[in-house]
Parts: sequence; C-alpha cells; structure tokens
Amino acid sequence: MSSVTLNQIGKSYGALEVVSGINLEIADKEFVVLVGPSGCGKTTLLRMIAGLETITVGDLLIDGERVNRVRPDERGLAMVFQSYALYPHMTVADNMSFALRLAGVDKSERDRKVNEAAKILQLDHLLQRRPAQLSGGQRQRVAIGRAIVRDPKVFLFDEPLSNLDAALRIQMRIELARLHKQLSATMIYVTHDQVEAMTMADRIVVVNKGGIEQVGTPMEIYQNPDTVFVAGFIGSPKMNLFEATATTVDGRTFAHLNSGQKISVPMQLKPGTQITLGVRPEALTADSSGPLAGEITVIEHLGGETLTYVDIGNGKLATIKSGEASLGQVGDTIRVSFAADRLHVFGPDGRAIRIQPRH
Amino acid sequence: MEQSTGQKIATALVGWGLSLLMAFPILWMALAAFKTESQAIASPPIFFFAPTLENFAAVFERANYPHFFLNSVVVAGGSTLLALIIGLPAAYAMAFYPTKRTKDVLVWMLSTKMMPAVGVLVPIYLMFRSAGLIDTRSGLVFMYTLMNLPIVVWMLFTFFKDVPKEILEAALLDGARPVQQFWMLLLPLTAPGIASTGLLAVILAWNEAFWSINLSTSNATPLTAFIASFSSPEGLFWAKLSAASLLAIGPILAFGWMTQKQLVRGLTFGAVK
Repeated sequence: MSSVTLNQIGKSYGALEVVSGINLEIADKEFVVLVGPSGCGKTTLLRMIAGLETITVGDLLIDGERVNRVRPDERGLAMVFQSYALYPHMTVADNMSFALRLAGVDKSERDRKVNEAAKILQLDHLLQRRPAQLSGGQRQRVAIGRAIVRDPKVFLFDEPLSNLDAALRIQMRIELARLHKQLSATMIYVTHDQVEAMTMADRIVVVNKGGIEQVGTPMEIYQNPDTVFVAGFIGSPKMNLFEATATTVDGRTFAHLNSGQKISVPMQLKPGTQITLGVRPEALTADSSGPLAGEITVIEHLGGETLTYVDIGNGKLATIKSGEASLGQVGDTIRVSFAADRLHVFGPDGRAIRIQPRH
Repeated sequence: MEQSTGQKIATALVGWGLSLLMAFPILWMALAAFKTESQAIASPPIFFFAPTLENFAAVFERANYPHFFLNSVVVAGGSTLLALIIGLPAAYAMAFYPTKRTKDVLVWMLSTKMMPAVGVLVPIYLMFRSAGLIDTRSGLVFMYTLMNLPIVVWMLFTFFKDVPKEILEAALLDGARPVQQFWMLLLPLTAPGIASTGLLAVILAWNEAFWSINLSTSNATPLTAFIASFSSPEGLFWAKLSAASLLAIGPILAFGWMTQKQLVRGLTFGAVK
C-alpha cells in the first residue's frame, strides 16, 4: 500500500502564496497526472511531496503517516527530474546504485537490483557508459532506472519527457504506461502537456493559479469540464469558447454571442447573465439548417482529419474538426450545428452550469 | 567559416607577431642571462654571441639559491593549501545556502583587492612584529593566504554555482547527507575548477614581491626577494640580474607550461561545458 494524501496543503514565499488549499487523495497503484500551464504551481506541489520544498501549511501523508518534516530520502519516494540530473562522473550502473550504496546495501545485492532494472529498461549494454555518452532517450531511461532500483513507494516525475523530441516522447509515453503496469507502483506525474495527461493518467488533476481546478478521469475531464479554464486547457484542438449574454424570448432562453449571432440554449437563465458557451471542434458539423453561419477562412488538412476555421462574426473563429473531406472552400459561407448535449455552458464565475435534461 | 590559405597565413603572422611582441621582454632577459656584462649593455644590441654561464656561476656564488627556492615553494604551496581549506567550505556555503547578504559579502571580499597594499603596510607590519611573524615562512603563508582568499572563494563559488541544482537534489533524494554530497559529487564534479583555482593561487603567491620584501629579511625570503637583492647596491648588472630573474621565474614558467591545459580548462569551465 502506498497512498498519498494532501490535506489543505499550501506554500507561500513571504506574502506571496504560490499554492493554496490543495486537497487530494492518491490511491495505491494510481497514475495521477498534475497538469497545468507553466507557473501554475504543479512543480512546486510535486517538490513539496518530494521534500525538496517545505510545506507552509497543511498535512502531507504517505500511507497515512504525516511526513511534512521527514527527510526526502526517508519518505520512500523516487523522483525523475526534467533535466534527468544524472551524476555525470559516474557510470550508468553507479548512477543507478548510488542510493543503495549510501544505504549500505552490499555489492551483490546492488548488482542484482541494477541488472534487474536495466533489463526492464533495456539498458543492459550501457551499464558501463557515462551519461555524456548516452542519447537523450537513454539518459531518460537511466533516470527512471535510478528510481526503480530504489523500490520506492511512490514515483514522482517532473516533466520527464519535455527534453525529448516528438517521436521519442510518444515512444517514452508508451513505455512509461507499460512500466506503470509492470511495476504496479503509485506514480505522480507533472506535465504541461495535456496530451501526456490524457494518454497516461488514471486520473488527471488540473492545476491553475496554485489551486486545483478539477480532478477526474481523462474522459470525465474531457467530457464534463467544471470550469472554462479546464474546458480550454484540455483537448486539442481547443474547445470553441464563445462569450455571450443570455436573453429570454417567449420563455425560451437564447444566447446572444458577442460576435453577433443568436443560438438557443436548453436551460433557464436569468436574462442579462454573462455566459460562455463551449463546443468541442468534433461536435460541430456542417448543416444547412444549423443555427450558426460563417465564412470559411482557413482549412487545415491533417490527412485523416480536417480542421476548418469559420468566422462567425467580428473575427471570432470557430474550429470544426471533420474527416478527410473538406466542408467547402475558403470564402464559402456555411451553416454549422451541434447536438444540444454537446454544448457546455459556463456562468459568469467561469464554472459550468450543467444542462438539465428537458422534460 | 572556411578560411582561404592567404587568410590563414595572415592570421598566423599576426598571431605570432603579437605573441613575440608580448614575450619580447622575457626573451630579451633570457638572452641577456647568457651574455657577458659588456655584451648585455651594448648598443646597438647584440643578438649573436657565444653564450656563457658565468652569470649563473656568479649568482650561485653570491646567494644561496636553493634556500630562496625552497622558501618560495613552501610559502606558495602552503598558502594555496590553506586558502583552499578555508575557501572550499566558504564557497560551498555561499553557493548552496545563500542568504540575502551573500552577494554583498562576495563584493566586499573582492573590494579588499582594490585597496593598495602599501596602505595597510604599517598596521600589518606592526601586527606581524608583535606576533613574531616577521621573517618567518608561516608569516608569509598567512599573508599570502589572506591575499588570495578573495579570489579563491570567488572562483570556487563560480564553479559550485555551475553545478546543476537538480543533481544535488537527486542526491538528497538518494539519501546523501551534505558531507557525502560534497565528497562524492561536488568535489569530483568541480575538480578541474578547484585545480585551476589552486594553480592560480600558486602562481600569484610565487610572483608576489611587495609583502615578501617588506615582511622578510633573510630566513623566509622567497625568490622575488632574491631578484630584488640583485638590483640595488652596486648599480645595475644587467646580465647577472637577468640570470637571477631567469632562475626565479624558471620554475613557475615550467609549472605553468605543464599545467596550462588544466588552467585553461578550469578557467573556461562553465563557458564551454
């Protein structure tokens, strides 16, 4: 069992509060991804769990035990750094066995553990090399190997893939997911890349401005974002977000988009309420009887899919994701519609107003 | 950028020309050391002559060269060792556990090098006299340590600063205590920097003349005082003075030559890593 509990955790530097009021339960064997824009406090949060930053307020529990004041190496965690942080003057084998050496583990046991980890990570043939003689991907694997050898309760990853090129990143993503299964370990992973979050996480924690915006499985977060921020941050291409004002005509609610058009909203809203409407690009379809109309300004062919950008007034672009076929040509005016249940409505505070099923 | 043959030759010529110009006084001195006194002061200067060792014989006859040489080695080596022993922990603390005033302390330390040494000659002399340090090797070791400490701390601080913080954090998570971090990571990682700092301190101490001349008379006199003793009372004897100077700078030149790779590597450590 290796669970991690964050209880009202906060961090301030003097009067500057960088993280506040964090409550989070991470279960045994769970892969949790903290995702958010740079400077949102996700790395600080991870470093507090690791013990590299002190915790200003709140309790951090590992396996139910408060560890706020426990030394980093005694928390039973291993961390993989963005820069890998390998010891440049040591061989791969020495890098991986350093912690065991410090802990006084005897040589044969150390070798056994290093070889075991090396086999998992396919590093067997590189054990006598130094970090400078390795490629980026290999260094990354050594850094992970160094963590595995310690047999930690929890693995911490701080943007481990951001220094790799795109192809390698995808490959390492798959390897990490596989590794998580193989080791059945608890992992906490920090990234700013929402694709990494969506593909690897059991649960995603969206962090913004030092607080948690939403916690949920990738699909929960994708399909039911709690806030405008989450809606815009998760998903690529981004969700279409239109600012609008609510009006009522004959008892039905409409949204007057700031870009000029009017669409019906399947819920009751006080007239004059400032709202934001959100629709995923793949939920928009070309439809001659659709409520929105606009001129196609840009078409991007990505091969299997096509992104069409439609100007719905005042230069506001709506993104439509469709299959291989084009929806028209640049300059054409098309009408667009979407299923009512794919519409997200956010109130003036940026929080989602859930659509009530109609009777 | 690809250079044409003509450009290469021009670059080489300019480079050699400048190097010769800068090295000329030293080369001229080396030549003079092997001339007779009359050849040494001849005008126009003589470039071709039958070399003689009589100046060296005269120098050895008049002064106990090994005595001065040994003093220089002890004083330069001892002060460097002491400066490193004090400077390493100081730089470590400043690089990894800085306070709000660390930058100020560093600037203050460097500022002590801006004051003319002669300004503090009298107080230092009086203190040395009271402490019985005049004309002792330990006195000079002490003086040179103080003299080099600011530069030593600055250089070590810079090398420590270049060590990525994550490496020490990784070590912290691996269970390394500060002392283990120092011995197992910092020292091996900054060895080139520490070595070049030491080399520079040796060279600065070896070349120091002001304090050695003022704080030693016979027992502790290093080679710089030995050269000085050849320049005054009986008027100038260029050839003998040159021979003495060559004997004084010879060891440190050879030392610098042998360690130049290390020196350059250390001094450009962070820049080209």
